[in-house]
Amino acid sequence: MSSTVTAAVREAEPESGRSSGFVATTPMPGLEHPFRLFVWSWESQSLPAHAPEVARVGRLFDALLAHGARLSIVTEASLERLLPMVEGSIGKENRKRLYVATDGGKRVFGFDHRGSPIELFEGDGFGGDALAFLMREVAGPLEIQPADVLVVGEASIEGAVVLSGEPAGLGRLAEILEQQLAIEEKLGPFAPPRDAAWSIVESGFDVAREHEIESLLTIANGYLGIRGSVAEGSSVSRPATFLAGAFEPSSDVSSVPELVIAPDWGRLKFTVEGEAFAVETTAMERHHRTLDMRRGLLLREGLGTGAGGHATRIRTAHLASLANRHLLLEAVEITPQNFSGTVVVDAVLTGNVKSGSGSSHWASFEPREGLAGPMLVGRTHGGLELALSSRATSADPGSMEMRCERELGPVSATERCTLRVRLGEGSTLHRVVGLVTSRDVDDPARRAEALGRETAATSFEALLEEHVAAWQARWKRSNVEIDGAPRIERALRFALYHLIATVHPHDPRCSIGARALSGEAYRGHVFWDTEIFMVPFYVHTWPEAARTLLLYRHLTLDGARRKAKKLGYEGALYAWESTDTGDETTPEFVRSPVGEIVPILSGFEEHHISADVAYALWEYARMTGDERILREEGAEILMETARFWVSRGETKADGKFHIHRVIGPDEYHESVDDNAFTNWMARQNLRYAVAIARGVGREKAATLGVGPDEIARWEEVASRMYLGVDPRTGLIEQHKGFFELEEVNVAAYSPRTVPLDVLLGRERTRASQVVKQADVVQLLALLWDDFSPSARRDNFLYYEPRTAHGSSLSPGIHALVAARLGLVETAARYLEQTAAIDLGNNMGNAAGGVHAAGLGSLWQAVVFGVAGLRTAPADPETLILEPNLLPGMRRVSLPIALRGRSLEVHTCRDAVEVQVVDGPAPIGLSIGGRAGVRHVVRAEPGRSYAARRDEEGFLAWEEIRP
Amino acid sequence: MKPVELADRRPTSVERGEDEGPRSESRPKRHRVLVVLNGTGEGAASAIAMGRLVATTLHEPLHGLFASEAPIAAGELPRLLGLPFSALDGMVLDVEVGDPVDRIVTFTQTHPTAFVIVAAESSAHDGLGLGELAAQTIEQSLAPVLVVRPCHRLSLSRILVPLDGTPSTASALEPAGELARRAGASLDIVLVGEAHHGPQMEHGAMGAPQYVDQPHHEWPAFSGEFVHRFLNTIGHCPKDVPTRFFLGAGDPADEILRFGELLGSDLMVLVWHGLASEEHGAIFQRVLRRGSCPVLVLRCS
Repeated sequence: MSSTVTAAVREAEPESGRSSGFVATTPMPGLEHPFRLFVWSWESQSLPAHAPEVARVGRLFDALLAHGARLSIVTEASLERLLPMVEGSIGKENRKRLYVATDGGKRVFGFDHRGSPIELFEGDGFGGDALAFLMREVAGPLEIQPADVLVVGEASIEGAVVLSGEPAGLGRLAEILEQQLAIEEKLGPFAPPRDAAWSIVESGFDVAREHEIESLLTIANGYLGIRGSVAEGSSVSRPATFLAGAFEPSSDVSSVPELVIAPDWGRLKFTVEGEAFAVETTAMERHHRTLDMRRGLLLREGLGTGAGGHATRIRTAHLASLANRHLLLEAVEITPQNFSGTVVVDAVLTGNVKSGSGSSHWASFEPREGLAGPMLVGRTHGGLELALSSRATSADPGSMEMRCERELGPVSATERCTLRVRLGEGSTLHRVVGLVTSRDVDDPARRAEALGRETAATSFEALLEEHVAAWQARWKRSNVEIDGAPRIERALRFALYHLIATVHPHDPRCSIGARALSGEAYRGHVFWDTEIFMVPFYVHTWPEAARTLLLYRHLTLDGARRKAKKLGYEGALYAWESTDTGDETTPEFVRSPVGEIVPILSGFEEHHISADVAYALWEYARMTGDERILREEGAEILMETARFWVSRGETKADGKFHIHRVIGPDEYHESVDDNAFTNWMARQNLRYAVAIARGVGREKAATLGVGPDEIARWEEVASRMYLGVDPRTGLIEQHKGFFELEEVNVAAYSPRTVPLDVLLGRERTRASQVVKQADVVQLLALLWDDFSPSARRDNFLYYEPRTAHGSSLSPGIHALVAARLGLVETAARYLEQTAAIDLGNNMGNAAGGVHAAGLGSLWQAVVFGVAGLRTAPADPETLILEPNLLPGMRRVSLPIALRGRSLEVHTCRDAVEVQVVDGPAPIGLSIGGRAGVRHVVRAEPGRSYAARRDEEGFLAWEEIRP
Repeated sequence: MKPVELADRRPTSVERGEDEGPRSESRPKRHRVLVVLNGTGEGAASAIAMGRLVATTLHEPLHGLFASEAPIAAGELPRLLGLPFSALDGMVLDVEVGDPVDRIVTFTQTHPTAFVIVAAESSAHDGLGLGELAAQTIEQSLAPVLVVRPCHRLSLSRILVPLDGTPSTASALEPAGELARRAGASLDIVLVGEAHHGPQMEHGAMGAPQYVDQPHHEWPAFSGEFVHRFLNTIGHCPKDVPTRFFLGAGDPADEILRFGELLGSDLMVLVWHGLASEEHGAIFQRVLRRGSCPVLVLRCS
């Protein structure tokens, strides 16, 4: 029985529903809306800064700023008059989101990392319109909508909520601010982040874009990843829960291993007064999905009216716990808008899943009655056993308003929870799901059940807090702030979110696939992307995770040995595409979109992967000081890959060692001889092996049967390696004969709607100097200190115009190198391009998952390029800082881990500051001064240092207050 | 935007139940296949043949329309057109007085019309290169217009649908797919990428991937997503129609024509926004002029 009462219902948009394909949202919130930007027009003459009312409002704004809101104060007063109020009310950290337009809007100030004002513009820069400046520079890039702006005073922003008020209205303003502050408390986990720089919001429901939205909104914890599909499903939804490191055969034409798609654990079906509440069938007035990157939460709010007229607001929160990777949490809040009655929530575990290739990985399922809740136990064709336990509870433990019944189907287990809901009151349901596999324990069903019992003794809030705390710990060691480039900052945060979410720091059986844990493209296969593009991020923010990723290469070393042997070589040749065993999983043929059957040679010829692994390992050890890995697993990798390289080439009549018939990073040119990237990296690999075999890896060398003669041979091959440097020009020839190929003006084909190799055709591309992606430029990025300044510049300027950027791995590396070279406009262009690979993409390219290497390259471009950080080649205990802030950037702040120290680096226009947060010993800081002089300081843990810039370089380091 | 007519069609073979009472105005309407008989006898013969094929495929009635300045008897038509008497067998003849294009438009306004089938003049070189009658029919008809030339091979086994990655051109998929389903034909979808052209800005548009990190993963993933987005999600193409997807590169008109030849297409389906001057219109004109098979033109409303 239910009763329906009359209440005001906002009309649903006429376009909403399945037929149009798009559900529009209505952007006119009331004051209960959590605003993201506050504009306060402060009449300073009638109310001085020290007035108690002003101070109270200031403190309330401070609290809102702490929640991530942004505040702009517009005043006739000067900065000097305003500053006491700011400094008295608003904390230094929170001032980063504060803007003040003083002198009637003629001058606009922001605040730096120390809480000090910095002038953003003065005079007529924006026609003297401070608000126009703020909306364009702050709100625009972060997609803060006018409806998210609350204007207090006489200022005018079209579409914003405006409260006109005289000074006497300050009391009312304080009430509104308190009301705003109460929103987070009231909404709890469902509260959307105020800070747009920490969230990705998808409004409405766009059937055309849904697959890419699902990818972008993925939640993951390195153990598993879940696409951000709507919980009730839709005609276009492609939900998937990926199990990291677990593979089953695909149903592709050329079958390869693909990531296991776990049973769907997050499915929720809502029935409101007998009618399904679903995004496609319910007339939606509002529908938003928000990825809260700071907390690792996927939030959803849907306000809709069913055919029977029942208007309901449903909020959900989903997370994959970072504190306990086997836990998945859901919270649901249901608020009837115009009725009291019954809502049924079906919380489903179902094995009715298939992979994108059409494969069903599961041989059998056994739904069970668990002690704490229903369970679903399944076994894959390959023998992996998985157990899911589910427990749904009312947020109010003593509530009689919710009853749950269990329903077991052939491949599903459901909790059907019936809620008595009351008009205007939110009813909340919590659900905790445990997921364990036989990769973790011998008896996953028993463990999953135990997990259910253990979590039953812990409150949902506590589980949530542990998860949020785990994310906070990660962000503390990872977050990058870029003042003056909010779009890049948010894109970088998105990149770091996925990089943090996709790695398992303790399971070396898992590495990271090309599309992370967000989509089925690339089948979860692991490429050089991990070592060259992602590992550097982990090395400097999460060294344990970096180590684990490298140990994956040790676990798969036997596969690499098998591949080398199969192709007739010695040692270890890593799979171009690796999965669980390390055996090669690259398909041998593909049907191109123009219908040709094209042989895939990368599995046979793209051999630089072995040197890439060696490079990553070496750099990891240099940057962390982890000697243990070099003694053990790393030594084995370095020596076995060195053996491969020696067997891979031969010394020719010119006395040089040549490596023929390879593919370099530029995959437009296959079966080439002496690819520069391959040869240079192979030389590095050999040098590392020599150093280790004669050094910390002596014992391991002995166990591998590596004797002095073999080490000498490695050394000789390294010294004889053909490097392709033209002595006349200093240019490195990408491969033998490259300079003789046809020159094609790449820019003449811009813009284009298809990659250049498709336009030119395969044969012409191969016969041309068109480069797919950074190849020699990639070499510059990796081996920077091996090249002279002129060689770096000349080679970049030669190859950059020839590069078509047909790979997502390319723009970020170009941004990095261009920034290091001081080509700031070029760097800015490539940085924007990198930031847009997933987020700027409404063309469907992210439908198969995010571009994980592109995300890693964005971090590298900012940290290694813009902030200009690297270690001294001869002394990894010294950090070199050569900042290159790009146009518009005022400050880049980042944490970095280096050899056991935690550093905070602030790169500003006029200075560089470094705080050695902690560490066992001092570390060197080196920065360039006038006339090539380098200023070096041994920076003590717990202390801060600054080098100020003058016209010709930086002045000597000085210690400053932390 | 949707092409008119076919998109809203419902099956016509639904039998009435015994308890549904006498027929009324709400009975299912049949969609006529209208052949334009004006023009040369050779042209009319090819249009009639195509009309028969389409009408048979769709199980719809075949009509022939002839308009002249002075009234003539229907029985005079074979002689006027230079056709044997039997050429018009099984066709409902509408012989009218007035401008042919006006009468065609009036017909399509008055009667539910699946297709208007008109022959192109083989000697015409100006405008759309089809002759005035076919060109004006395309421009003014609200119903889909199928243009046929006497030299065309008449079959409906392979239907080519070029798309530009926008939802508006994808609107061709539902009627084309329905025709393919009825004919037992397969659909070949062609997307052409080109230089000097930025991505389509229409909401929901999708182009070839900018980044192809590993072609053997990227192309199948892209093709799958494209087909899903345009055939299933936006185009509402019948699911049981065999479909292939191809990516072309270069000049769009040249590529469409090349794929038409390469794939042995029996029919090309083009969506026209109604403007010859715009870029899309230029491609449309060139394909119409040079197509080696009949072309079905769907107007975006």
